[in-house]
Amino acid sequence: MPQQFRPTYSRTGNLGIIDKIYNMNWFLILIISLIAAFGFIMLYSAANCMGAEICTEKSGSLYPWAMPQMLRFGMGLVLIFIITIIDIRFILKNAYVFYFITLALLVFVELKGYIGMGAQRWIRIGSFQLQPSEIMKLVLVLALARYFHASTPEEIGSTLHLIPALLMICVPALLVLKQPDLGTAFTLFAVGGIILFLVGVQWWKFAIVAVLLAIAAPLIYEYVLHDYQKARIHIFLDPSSDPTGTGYNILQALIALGSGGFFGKGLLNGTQGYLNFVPEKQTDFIFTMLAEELGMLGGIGLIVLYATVLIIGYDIALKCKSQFGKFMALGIISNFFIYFFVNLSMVMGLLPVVGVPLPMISYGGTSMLSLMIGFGLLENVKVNQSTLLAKAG
Amino acid sequence: MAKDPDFSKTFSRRVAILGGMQTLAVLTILSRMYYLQIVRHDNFKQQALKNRSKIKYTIPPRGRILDRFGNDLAVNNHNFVLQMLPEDVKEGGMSVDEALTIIQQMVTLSKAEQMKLRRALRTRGAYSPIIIKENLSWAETAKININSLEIPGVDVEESFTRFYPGGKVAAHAIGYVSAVSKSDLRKEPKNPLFKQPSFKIGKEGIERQFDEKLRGVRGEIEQEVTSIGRINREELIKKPTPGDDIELTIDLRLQKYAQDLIGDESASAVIMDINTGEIILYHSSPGFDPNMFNLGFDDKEIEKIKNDQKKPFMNKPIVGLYSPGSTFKMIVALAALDAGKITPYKKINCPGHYDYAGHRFHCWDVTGHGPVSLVQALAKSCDVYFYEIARETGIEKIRETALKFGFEELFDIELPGEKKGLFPSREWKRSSGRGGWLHGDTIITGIGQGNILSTPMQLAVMTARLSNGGYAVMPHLVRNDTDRTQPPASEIYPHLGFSSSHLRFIREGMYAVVNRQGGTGDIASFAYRGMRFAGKTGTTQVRRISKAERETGVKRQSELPWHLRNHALFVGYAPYNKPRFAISVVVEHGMSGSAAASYARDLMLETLKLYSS
Repeated sequence: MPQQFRPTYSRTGNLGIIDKIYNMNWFLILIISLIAAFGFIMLYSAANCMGAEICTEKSGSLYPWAMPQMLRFGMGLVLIFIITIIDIRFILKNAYVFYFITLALLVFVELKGYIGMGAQRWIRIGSFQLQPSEIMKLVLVLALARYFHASTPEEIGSTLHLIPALLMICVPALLVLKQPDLGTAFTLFAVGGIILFLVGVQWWKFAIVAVLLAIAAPLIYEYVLHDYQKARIHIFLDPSSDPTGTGYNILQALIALGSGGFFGKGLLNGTQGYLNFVPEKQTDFIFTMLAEELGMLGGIGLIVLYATVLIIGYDIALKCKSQFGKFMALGIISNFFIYFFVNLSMVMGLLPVVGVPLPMISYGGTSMLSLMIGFGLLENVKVNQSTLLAKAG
Repeated sequence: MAKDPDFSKTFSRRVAILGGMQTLAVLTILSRMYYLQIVRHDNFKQQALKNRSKIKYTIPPRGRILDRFGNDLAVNNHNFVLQMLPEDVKEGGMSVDEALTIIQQMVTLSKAEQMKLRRALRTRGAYSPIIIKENLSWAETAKININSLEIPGVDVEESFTRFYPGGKVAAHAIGYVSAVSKSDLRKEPKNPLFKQPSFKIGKEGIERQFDEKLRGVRGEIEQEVTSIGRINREELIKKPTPGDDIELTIDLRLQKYAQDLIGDESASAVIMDINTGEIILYHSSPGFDPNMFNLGFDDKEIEKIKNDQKKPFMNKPIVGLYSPGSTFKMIVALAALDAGKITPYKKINCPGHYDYAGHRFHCWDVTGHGPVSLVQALAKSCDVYFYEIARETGIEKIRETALKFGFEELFDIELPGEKKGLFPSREWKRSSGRGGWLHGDTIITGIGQGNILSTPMQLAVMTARLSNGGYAVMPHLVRNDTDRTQPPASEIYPHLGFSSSHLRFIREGMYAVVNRQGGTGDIASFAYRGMRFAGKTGTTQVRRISKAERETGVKRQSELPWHLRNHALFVGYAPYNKPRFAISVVVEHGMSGSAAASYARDLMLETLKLYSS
C-alpha cells in the first residue's frame, strides 16, 4: 500500500521557529550553563600564577584558558539554538550522510592526519583543528537511531539484521583505536552497545560478546595494545609501582583529590595543580583541581548537575513519540554519561588513564563543540517529541 | 510501529535497567570520592604538603680564627659565583650559546673553566643552576650586575670561601677546611649541609678540633617548588647563626718571624708562657698553604708535598718524636739532687769515658772534662757526669721525675694527633721483648739516649716547669680568661714537689750553658735590656756509630746524606732573672745542637723585644 510509504506528520512537526524556541527545555540550558560556569572558574584558577617568575600573590587568569572556553561556550549556545530549529526529518533523512562524511574524515586523518600527541587525531582547517572521532560519537548515534527507527521487533531479533549496525559501530571504533585513542574507541563501542541494548537485542547475544571478549582480552592486551597502554593498565592496577614515572600522574591526581577534603582548600589555594604536580590540569585532570580547591562539596555539586542533565535527557527520551527521537536522545545522554563517568573514574583511579575529557569543564574546542551539538540534538528531540516520523526515510 | 506493545515493554524495561546501572555508577563515583576525600584525607594532605615544600638549608659563615691580639688567621672571603639557569635564559628568548657569548664579553673564561662549563651543561638536572665562573673579581661582579638585566637567568650569587691570609704561617696550628669526604658523611649522615658542594669542614688543626663551634647553626628557608623542581616562592624560617670566633694564644708577629727565619728547614719551634701555658709560637716547617685545599684543589701538588722527605704536612711539635738527648740532662740532675745522691758541689771526674760492668761509655768529648760539678757538667754537657749520677739515682727515680716534667704526658692540646712518646721502664723493656733492664740502660738514660721518645711540645713543657719554680703548667692554644689576667704559675697549677733551691741550681746550669765560656750553647747568648737567655743544647744521633767507625775516626756530619745527619735540639727560657718564656727548637738533621741554638736565640730575642715594652 502506498500509505505505508507516505510520511505521516503531526501538527507540531510544522511548528514555527518561535514556537520551537519556546518549547525548548530551558532548564537544560540553565544546567549546562552552570556546569560550564564551573569549568570557567576552574580554568581561571588553573592559570594561577602562570608566567610569573616568582609567585608572590596568587591570582587566577582568564587567559590562556577561561576566556577562549567562554567564547566557545557562547558559540555552542548559538549552535544549540540552530540545531533545535532544524527539522528533525532533515536529520533523520541525512543521518547516514553525516555518518559517512565523518567516517571519510576519520579515514582521512588515519591516512594523512596531523600528528599530535603521538596519535593522529586532528584535521586542520585553517586555524581550526577538527577531531573527527569526537563528531563520530554523535553521528554514530544518529546513524544507529535511524537504522533501528526503521526496524521491526522481528528484525531486531534477527542476527543478520544486526550485522550492518555492528559494522556501523566497529568500523569507526577500530579506526579510532588504531589512532590510537583508547578512550574514544571505548566510548564508541559503549554507546553502540547501549543503543543495541535499548532497542532490545537479546540478552544472550550480549552474553556471547562478553564471553568472547573475556577470551580475547589477553590476546588484545598482548597484540593490540601499545606499550604505553599496557603500562597504563599495569599502573592502574598498582599506581605505587612507579611513583615517578607513569604512575606519577595518577598518584598526584589522588593526592590532589584526597588533600582537598570535604570543603576543599579554597579557590586558587590548591597546590597540586598550581605547582604542576597534576599533569594536564586544564584538560583531562581538571576534576582533581576542582576537588582539591572546592572539595568533595564542589565535586558533589558538579555530579549533581551532571545527573540532572541525565534526568532531563531521560525525560525527553521517554516523552518522545518517535523511536528515532528516543534512540537519539538516549544515545546522546549515554554518550554524555560515558564521558563524565570514564573521566571521573580515571582521575579517581577506578579506570586506567585513557584520555577522556570532563564534559563542559575540560579545556578543548572539539569536545565542547560535540557536546553542544549533542545538547542541540537533545533539544531538537524535545521540541519534536510529538512529531511522528515515517519508518522509512 | 512504535505502538507495538511488546517493543514498548522491552524498551521501558531496558531504559530502566540502563538508568539503574548509571545510578549505580554515579554512586560508585561518590563513594570513591568519600573514600579519597574524607577517609584518606589526612594522609593525602600530608603527601601534598611534602610534595610542594622543601627546606633549603643555608650555610652559616664560619667563625674566624684569631691570634692573641685579634689578628686574622682564618677568615671568610666573599666568593662571587656567576651562575646561569638555562630554563630562564630560554624563557627570556635567548639561547644558552647567545647568553654565553655575551657573558664572555664581560668575564674571561679559561680553557679549563669552559670545559667544566660544557660538562656541567650536559650533565645537570632540570632547573638546577650551573656555575659559569667562581671567585669573580669586583670589577667582573660590577660589570655583570650592571648588565644582568639584559640576560635573564644569569646572576651572581654570593657565598663564602675560607681564606688564610698568612698562607704557610701557623698553618699547622690553624689547620684547614676542605670538602666533605665519604668518611665525614658516615659520621654525620643526617647533616643536610654535608650534601652541599660549597660546604667545607675542618680537616686539621684548630679548624678540625673546633669544627662544630666554628660551623655555627644552619639557617632554614622553606621553598615552594613545582613538580619539575622550579622554586616558586621562598620563606625565611631561620637565619643562619655564624660560627663562634676562636682566639688563639699564638702571636701572628712571632709566627711570621719564625716563618721567615726558619724557612723550609725541617724544624719545629714552640714558645710558651711558663706561667699560663699559653703557646705564643707554634711553628712547624716546612709549611704548606692551607688555602690550596679550598681554592682549586690540585691533587698532583698535594701528592708532591706528601712525598717530600721533609714532611710538610707533619705537625712536628706534637707529632714528631725525638730522642731528647742532652736536653734531658736537667731532669737527671734534678732526680739525683731530689734523691739525695749528689750535692750541687759534688765533683765527678771525667776521663772521657765511663766504664761500668765491663762496658765502656764514651763522653762526647773523648779528651775528657776532668772533675766537674753539676753546673759545670751541664754547661759542658759532660756525659760521664750524667752516666755516673744516673746509675746512682736509678731508673725509677729518673722516670718518676721525667713523667712529672711532661714525658709520656698528653697535654690535651687543642690539636688532633698529639703523640704521647715513650719513657722506658723495667716493665716496658720486659714486656716489649727486649729482655731484662741492665745498668747500661740506666746509664745511657742519663744522657737522654736509649728508647726515650718525646715531642718538641713535651720538651718545651719540661723547660717551662723547670723555670717556673716547678709548677705543672699545661700548654694550650686557645686563649682563656685566666690567660688574660696573667697570673703566676703558682696560682693556677699544682706544685710538682721539687725543692726550689735544687731547681735554682738546674737553672744556673742552663745559664752557664749559654753564657759561660766553654758552654755548649754559647752561640745562643744575648743580652737585651739586661735580659739573658738560659738553655741546653742537644744532639741526637739518627744512626748508630759502629765500633769500627769510632776507631777509624767518626765521619764528619756534613759528609753524611741529609737524612742520616743528627737532629739538633735546643731548649731554653728567658729572661734568666725573671723567667717568662720557655722555648724548644728541634731542627731535624740539623747536625749539631748549635743549629737549633741559633734559631732559639733569634726567636727568644724577638719575643723579648715584642713583650718587654
